[in-house]
Amino acid sequence: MFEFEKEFAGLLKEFYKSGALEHLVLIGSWCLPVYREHYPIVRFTFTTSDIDFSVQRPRAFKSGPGIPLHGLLIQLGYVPKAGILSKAEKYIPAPDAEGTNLSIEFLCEPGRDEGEPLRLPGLGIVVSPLSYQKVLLDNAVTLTYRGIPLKVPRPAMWAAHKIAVSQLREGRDHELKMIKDLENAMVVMKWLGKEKILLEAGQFKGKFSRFFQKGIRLMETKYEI
Amino acid sequence: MGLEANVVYLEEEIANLQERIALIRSFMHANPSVSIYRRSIKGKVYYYKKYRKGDKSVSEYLGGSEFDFKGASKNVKAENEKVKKAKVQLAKLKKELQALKRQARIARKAFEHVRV
Repeated sequence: MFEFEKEFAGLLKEFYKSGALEHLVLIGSWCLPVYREHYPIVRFTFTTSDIDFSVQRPRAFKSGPGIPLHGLLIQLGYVPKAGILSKAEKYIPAPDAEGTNLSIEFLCEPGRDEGEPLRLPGLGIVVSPLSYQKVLLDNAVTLTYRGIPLKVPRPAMWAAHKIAVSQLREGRDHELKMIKDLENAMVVMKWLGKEKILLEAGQFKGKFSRFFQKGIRLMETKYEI
Repeated sequence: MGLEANVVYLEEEIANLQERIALIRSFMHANPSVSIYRRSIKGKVYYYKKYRKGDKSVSEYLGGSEFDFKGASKNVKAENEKVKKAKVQLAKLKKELQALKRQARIARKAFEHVRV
């Protein structure tokens, strides 16, 4: 992850200058380096080139003009790559671009009847709906990363979300992916403590709460917390 | 970081690199290196561009003496530069992919060993 931090900071700077960061919340593993700038979390040693942003109020960008995020990414040396089976898109380094290694994906909370990726002409991008984004979006705070203000979920909520979604992993190696999510959550839990995370997750009911409980039980056995 | 997370991260990175390599290959296939050459036939000058398409060498007629050779050469040079950069990227990514595959193999072996 450290090898990509310069590129990550450069990307954030451009997003900030264009005003796009006001509408995006950084989610996923890249929240950890941001937290680490502010909170005493342990040093982690993993490497991932996937950056995930969640779009706040995506339907506000269903018509243009807005922020030309697509054009900005092209300018920075990324190209959109559509999925083979779905309309989902992510930005990967352009073939002739030098010094770009990150992949950027945009997500959003699924609408009532929309499970399909959503094209946002206002931003020029395609966002993929993913369950329980609202939990993160509603609990976003602004922190700085190398002097750039950006929105991230509150650490306790980010950890609670990781624990819950770890139980939604499917496909090949779903067990390994689940453990990866739980280990990420452990980074925050070691600093905040289990009680704080239980308290944060306590405000949710229904399926999310059930997934969280299942995940936390697994953590209790695996990490003896 | 645990062995499980390590395996997942490595395999995600391998998938990302494979995606990028495929993109570069399709880019290079769609944009082969081009050269422009001219031929004099009976005192008249004709310009052609030459590139490889699969195993074949293809020559395409561009124009006669009125053809803007300098302008076209400049464009071709810029395009060839992009292809050159893509080739460098491809070689770099292939090396990275090999290294990651090796790491992933070791990580998975270690994980399986611990699980048993």
